Amino acid sequence: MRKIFPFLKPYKGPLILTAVLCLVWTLQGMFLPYLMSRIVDDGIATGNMGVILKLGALMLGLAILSMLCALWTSAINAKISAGFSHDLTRGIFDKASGLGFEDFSKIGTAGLLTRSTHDVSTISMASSMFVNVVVVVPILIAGGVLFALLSDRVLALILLLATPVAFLILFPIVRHLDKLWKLSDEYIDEQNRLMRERLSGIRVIRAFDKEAHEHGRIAHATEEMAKYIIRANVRAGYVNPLCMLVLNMATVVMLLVGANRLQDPALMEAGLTAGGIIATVQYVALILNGVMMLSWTVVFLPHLKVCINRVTEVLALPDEPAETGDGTILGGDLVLENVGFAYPDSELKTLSGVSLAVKAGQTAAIIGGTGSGKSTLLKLLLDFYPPTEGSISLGGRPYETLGRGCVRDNVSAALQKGMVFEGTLLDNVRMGNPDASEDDVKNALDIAQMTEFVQSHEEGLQYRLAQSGANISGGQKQRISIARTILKPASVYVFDDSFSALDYLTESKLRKALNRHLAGKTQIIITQRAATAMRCDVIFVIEQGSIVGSGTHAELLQSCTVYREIVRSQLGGDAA
Amino acid sequence: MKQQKKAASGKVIFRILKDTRPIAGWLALGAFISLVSVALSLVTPEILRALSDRLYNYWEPAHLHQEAVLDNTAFGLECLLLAAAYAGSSLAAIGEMLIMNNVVSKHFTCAIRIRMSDKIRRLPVRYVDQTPNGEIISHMTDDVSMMGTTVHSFLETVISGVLKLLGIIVLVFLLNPILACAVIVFVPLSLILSAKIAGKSEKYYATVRKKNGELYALTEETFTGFDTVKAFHLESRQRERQAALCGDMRDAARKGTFLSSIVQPIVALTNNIAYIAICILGGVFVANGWFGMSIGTIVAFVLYARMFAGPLESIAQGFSMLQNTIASADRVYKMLDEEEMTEATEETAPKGEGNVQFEDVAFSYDPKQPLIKDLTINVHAGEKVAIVGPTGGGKTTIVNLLMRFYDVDGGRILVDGKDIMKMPRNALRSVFSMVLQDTWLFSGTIYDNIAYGRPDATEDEVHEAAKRAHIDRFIRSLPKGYDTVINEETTNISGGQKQLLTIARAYLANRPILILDEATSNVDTRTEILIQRTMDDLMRDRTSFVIAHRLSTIVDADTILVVNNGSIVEQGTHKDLLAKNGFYAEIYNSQYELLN
Repeated sequence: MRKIFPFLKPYKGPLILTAVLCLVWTLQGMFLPYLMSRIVDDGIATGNMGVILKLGALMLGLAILSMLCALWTSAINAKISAGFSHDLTRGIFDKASGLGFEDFSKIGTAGLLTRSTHDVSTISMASSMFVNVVVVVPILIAGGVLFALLSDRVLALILLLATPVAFLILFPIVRHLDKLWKLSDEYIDEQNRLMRERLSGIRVIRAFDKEAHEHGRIAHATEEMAKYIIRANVRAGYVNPLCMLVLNMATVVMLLVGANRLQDPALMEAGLTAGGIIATVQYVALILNGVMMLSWTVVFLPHLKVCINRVTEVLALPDEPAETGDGTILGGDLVLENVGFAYPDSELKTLSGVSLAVKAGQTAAIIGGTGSGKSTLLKLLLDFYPPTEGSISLGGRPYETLGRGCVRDNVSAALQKGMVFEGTLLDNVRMGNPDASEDDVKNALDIAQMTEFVQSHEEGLQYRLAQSGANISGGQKQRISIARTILKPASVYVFDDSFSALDYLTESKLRKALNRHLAGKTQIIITQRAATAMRCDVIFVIEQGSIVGSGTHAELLQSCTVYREIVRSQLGGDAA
Repeated sequence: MKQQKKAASGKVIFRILKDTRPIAGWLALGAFISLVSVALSLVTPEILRALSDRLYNYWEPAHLHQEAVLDNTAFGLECLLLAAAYAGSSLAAIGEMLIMNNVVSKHFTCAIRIRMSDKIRRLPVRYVDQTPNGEIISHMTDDVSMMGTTVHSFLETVISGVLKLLGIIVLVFLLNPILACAVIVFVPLSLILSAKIAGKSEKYYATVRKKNGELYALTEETFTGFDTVKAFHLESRQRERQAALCGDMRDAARKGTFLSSIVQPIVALTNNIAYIAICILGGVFVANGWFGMSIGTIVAFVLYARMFAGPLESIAQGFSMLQNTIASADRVYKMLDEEEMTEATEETAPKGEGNVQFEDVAFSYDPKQPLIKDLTINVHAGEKVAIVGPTGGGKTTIVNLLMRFYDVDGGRILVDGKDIMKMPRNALRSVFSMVLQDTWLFSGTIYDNIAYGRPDATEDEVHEAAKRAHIDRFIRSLPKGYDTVINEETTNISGGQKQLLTIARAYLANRPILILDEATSNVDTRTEILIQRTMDDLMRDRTSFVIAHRLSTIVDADTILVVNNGSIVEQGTHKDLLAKNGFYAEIYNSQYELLN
């Protein structure tokens, strides 16, 4: 909570103003029935036209004034809620996008996404709702009782009692609604999940002639879903009629009690009037509105608390110092000495005793199966995490003395997923080097064997890539990512499984072009494919976090069992 | 044009009505109950009027110390009557709500959804391939919900709303025609105003929704590609874009929120003006004794004026909703009307020997781009056919045709000498086993997944299949063994293990023809060596079609089909093709370049 308040601070003045305006507006609503009772008692009873018109004019004036107040409040509220939401959304994104990897992985991609979208919008929505409830509801209740006191103490007391009674009846109904809605949402998800599963598996399902079976599963889920939706809707459906019932019964009771007290001459002397009773009865509706608002808000509280806690969790993380280097390009000698690594919060070592040296201009392969620690090694090379043991140095200088910004200026990496961003092709490649010309970009794409793709679209470099590259294939994503990587001026180029979605022919052409373009630079190729690794100057075989062999293809075939197995399984007996 | 659209809308509405026929009786009952509720709610202001008059008639002389009597019994009885009317109205509302919820949800929306699911059974694979999954799902959930809501609120808006409006108008005119005008003029005025403003604010909300979608996409890509963002120093780039989107969204949200929040005060003002007009006019009439009006009549008027707004609002809402509903229903009916697959009437099934012939087959996904022309292959029982070629070259098309996921445009495919177009699809498919690259498992236990193709298999057979696929040991190491449930959240089973499960599934199905589409692409190297033996077992004495990336696994194939850009460019054995020194040789050598 303490982390959220600073975001509200710029709006302190407007918030107070809106509260005051709310007060005026609400009191006006209370005042009208009171004025009506005066028309009845003073005007009609005495037949005084002047009083009726005067009071009527006053009512009209009040109504217009209150509308102006309400318009002003709307303007301020709109500014506060849009502004607060804007500030919070930006604040959390700025924070999250600047996190270090240790903190980032603590919350995770999905977690951060929920926090910076869903949670933030829930908090923003709630904040404007809460301002209303906190200001309006107490005024409604206090004002209603106060005006009722003007005509009769007992009637005011009944009104005061009706509030908790209404709350006690409404709240239990509304409280469980949240749970029911969540349940029916879960069943909707279940139906949709089964449907998605069925559509994506349509070939297998038809191959095994299981359409009837799958239809049965979905029909069952749909029926279950209907059951829960009915339950939730029925419960919600009770709220209005019951609310009306409470309101109306309070009205009847007040009429009965009012009539009774009106017959007491002493009370009538004290000023109890028929108009007063009729006006007081009208306050019931106003107050009950407030109670309804309150119940809905209270239901919302636990949900809001969860959102606030989650957002606070991100905001409370320490800031990572800015990570931009000065752009110096170092020598390409890369040395890892006895490097060991365990992820934060994990006792298991992902890497241990990894020592390897790659000379400037060499091409090295790191080969191993899934889960062998290859990708973790890359994370260390990019200084996403510092190694827990040993040291890494580039161009003869240890990483610790370089700083993360400088390391990332010198290590250019194409990552496994082949990430592309929503935007043009040009934009996506140019991320590697914002100063690059269009010709440089074209050249990089040509090396990445993407020229055919560029030419097949009339927009050329301006071709728009959809979010997460939905309009291109996995191989194309990898190649765009490769183009971006080689466009960046650096001393070491790393390709993490970057050729996995490419067929051998394309890979072969790409690698040849790459070797020409990156001559003199250090290349590190992380792969599972023997055919990819065997052309490299030096190959490191990694298994279960350790290097189990190093050397050229021919050497390793002699010395390393693991390597031999990999080659035999992938290339067949004759190759080994 | 417009008229055509109207006619189409009418058709859709008529069809929705037709679909509600099974629940017509319940809908009528709901309408009747809501009628009772309307009648009761219209009676209450009348009773309140009588009560107010009694109070006022007592108080007026009494407070001037004149003789006055309040008939307590009559007052009490009227109060009781009022309470009963209120209670009855609430009960009727609850009754109607219960009927409508249960009937509409159970027998209307649920029934349409089940019909849609049933429809998918008879739609061609082409439809599913061409329609994004999300679209089909959104028709089934959102669009059908929309239809349900409309049918549900139909009674409330059209029947009870119109009745209520008519009732109020008649009653207020009977009470006093001049005051009635105040109600009938001001209340609709406020509604027209609010509708106008709401329409304007919707424009801004549309912008907010659009920007919000873009913002979500940006946030998602930033966090899913966090490593790339860090590696290329893209933080400030992403922040700038986010800030721009946030700014646009703030401006639109501010305008939209303002416009929509001024609706209430404006409506309140017009309602208040009606209220004040009633007070002043009524006060003047009563004070002068015109029209024989009493205080109670003023009270009744105030109450009727309040009641007037409700049904008007819901009718207006109902009409705008109707537009959306017609659009939704149109999409739903369009899917239900999609052309279905035609099924062969002859009950001929392949004998299960495993002979396959392609005779001058022609096919294309898009008529403008012919894909396969004059494809002729002759595969004898027990032979192994390999399909190789670059990614995206169209290797899976052959599988699509063979399994009749798609139908040939020309020529014919024969299995065991019979044209596959002339046999029922399920009969044709019953001779095939498939293992595909994207491992599809349904959410259910491991056991059920393996037994998917043969639910009648014994437990021993299932275990044997798992053993053959080298996955039995792993399954037994899981806490729940074969009863482990696989679902979206399953993380302790790797992609490779899932693929082994699909291999076990194919093994168990034990059918004469086998299709392996990159069947071991996700399996790690060591396991692959083991699994290769099982695959060889599996292929022995069976006709098999193998799509493979790694050429080492298919050099012994009887026929190799080389596919590029959608067409078969070469065909022959490994030796023939190498000797030909064409495209196959190029692919093959690229893999072994260093060695040769």
